[in-house]
Amino acid sequence: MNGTLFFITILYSIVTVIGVAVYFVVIASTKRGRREGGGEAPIASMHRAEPWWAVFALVVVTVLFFGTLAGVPWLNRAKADATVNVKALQFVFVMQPATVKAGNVDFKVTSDDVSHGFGLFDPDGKMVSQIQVVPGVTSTLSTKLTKTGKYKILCFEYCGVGHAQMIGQFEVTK
Amino acid sequence: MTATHEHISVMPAGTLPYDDAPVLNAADVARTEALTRRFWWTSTLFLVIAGLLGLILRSYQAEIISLPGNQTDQANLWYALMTAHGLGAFVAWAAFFLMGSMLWLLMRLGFPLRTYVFAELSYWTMVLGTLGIVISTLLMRFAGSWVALYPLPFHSQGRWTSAATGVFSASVLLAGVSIITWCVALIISVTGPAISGEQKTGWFGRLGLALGFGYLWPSRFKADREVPYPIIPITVIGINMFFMTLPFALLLVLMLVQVFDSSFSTDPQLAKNLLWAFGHPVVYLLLFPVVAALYYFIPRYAKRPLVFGKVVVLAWTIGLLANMFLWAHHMYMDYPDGSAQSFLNMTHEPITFAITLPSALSLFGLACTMWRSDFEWSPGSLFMIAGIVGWLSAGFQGVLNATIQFNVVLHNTLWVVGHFHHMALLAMGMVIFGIFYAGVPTLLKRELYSEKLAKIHFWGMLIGGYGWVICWLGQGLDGAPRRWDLLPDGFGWQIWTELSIPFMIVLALSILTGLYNIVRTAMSSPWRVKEGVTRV
Repeated sequence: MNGTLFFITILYSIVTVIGVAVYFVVIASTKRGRREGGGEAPIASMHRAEPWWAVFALVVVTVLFFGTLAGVPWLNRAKADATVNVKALQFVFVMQPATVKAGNVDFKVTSDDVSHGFGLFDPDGKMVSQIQVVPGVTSTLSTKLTKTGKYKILCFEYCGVGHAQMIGQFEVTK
Repeated sequence: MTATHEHISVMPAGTLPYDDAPVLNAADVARTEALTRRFWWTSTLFLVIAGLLGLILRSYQAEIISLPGNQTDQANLWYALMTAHGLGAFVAWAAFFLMGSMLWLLMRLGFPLRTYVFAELSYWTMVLGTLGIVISTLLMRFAGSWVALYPLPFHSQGRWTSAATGVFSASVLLAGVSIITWCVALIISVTGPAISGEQKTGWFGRLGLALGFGYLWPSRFKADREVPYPIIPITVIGINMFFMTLPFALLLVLMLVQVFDSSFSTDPQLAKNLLWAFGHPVVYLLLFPVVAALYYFIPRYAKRPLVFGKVVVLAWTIGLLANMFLWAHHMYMDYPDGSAQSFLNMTHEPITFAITLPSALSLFGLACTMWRSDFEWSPGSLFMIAGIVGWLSAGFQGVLNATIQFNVVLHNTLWVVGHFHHMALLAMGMVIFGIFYAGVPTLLKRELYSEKLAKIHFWGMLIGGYGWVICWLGQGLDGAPRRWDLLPDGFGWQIWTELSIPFMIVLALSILTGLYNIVRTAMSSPWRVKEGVTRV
């Protein structure tokens, strides 16, 4: 599994377990509520907590926004050591050149027919990165490739009947 | 019940719930209930068809069944079924059911339809649109996906005709007309005299009241009656979908022009923006009515008013604005050289985060409303609480999707498919079934046929649904792409598809059990409602 995907798995699991556990506590509290006839809950305190909960939610998403800016692909391009021109067509990827040396690589992807996706997988089958391309424009995916071997490209946008046959390949050498 | 001008009590004296209208016009009640039942039964029929298509799609991927024809025929048919399934399940079932349910809730809250023309138009255009989608996909083999990935509809590789593209575009346009006319019906209803009463308030003032501004600014937005909280999300989605359906409608019109004049074309990047300007708000065409239903039902089950204040109203105002400027989060991986798209993507990330506020505050307020309450557990409330937990757990996935750094590896993977099935079926779908069970005594005038079958439905949907969704999420976290009829060998993804099949069967059987229960209820003798059961 890709490192970012592993991080997402852990983060999602922790947050979801906590969130769902809190809701289960709320559900369990209704047993006590039934015994008390529902009259003992601290309604006024809960009302006072509403703005603080909103502030908490705002702080979380603000931290998430600024904390992940370094991962925004178009804001963080390294100088390329090599460029690969990719033409995406129903249902092939034409790569020029088909072999590059390990390092920072720019993939300049174009399409003449429909929208395609350029999904890059390393020699171990782990996802590296991706970019979308619509006809008539060039989309540049900048990424660092350190592993040597044969990489695969899978089409990451539905493009017609042969979409699942649209697999390209290129090689990274030392 | 015959349509007369007599007034009837909603609840026995002394037990009036928190924000129901004190009295209702019997004619409104009868007509709205009949209309809602029509929306319910028709959308449920679409659920059966769309669900069956979903079973075929996943079974083919697991290589349990085959489709007719050679490999290319099979692939195209699979994508045509996928197109029909997406629109059928999302719009023709879930959205259509909730559209009908909102008319009923509005009436219960004292905002009956002021004209039935738009609601009737909404019903018939959705029915016609759905039939057209069925014809264009299943018979004419249009397989451009529900998002009509322009210009794909015009590059079919000979698999479908230009006429099929035309029928599909016109049919989806009809579904769009259905949504817009429904919005008009809602807006006319909530801007009527129901809240402002004797106060002299202009149209925009009444709209502000329906958005809850009376809580924020009582001296400016005066009313005879506090706006019931469920009215706020209904008004928000009415405004949102009225405006945000228009960009996609424009794209569909442009596609129709191209059907008749092949020299005409549209800029694909613009087309993608027009699509997603509708494509994300339409998710809230399900979620916001679901939230309105939770605002309506949960206080009744908890036997206390919603624990909400002013901040949630402010959050909904933010949600109203944010929902119209967040579509580019579906296009984070589109950033062509030299275009402004990357700037748009960057601005839509914080706006998308902002729309979590109504969800965060609603989940908090609903939890507070339930906290240590004398909560009534019934099939309806059980499904709704499961829906809230599904909303919470699927909502976290949405925040991750909306984060650009994470989207680089999540976009167009099966994680996204897992996320929207989680949200659509295990959050919103659960609440839809909750509304069904809760509404049966009132709308069908019958006692539920079997609570035991309802519990089987619940546990089957919970276990089958989560097992089924987790398989997709797992595949996506391993990088598996979406919209592949058959996943490639050598990545280890196929095992997840095979693992999902038993869960899918449990899920399908549980939903069938639920539908059987409801059909048997409808066929039973009327007016045998148990005493002591909450009349919602």
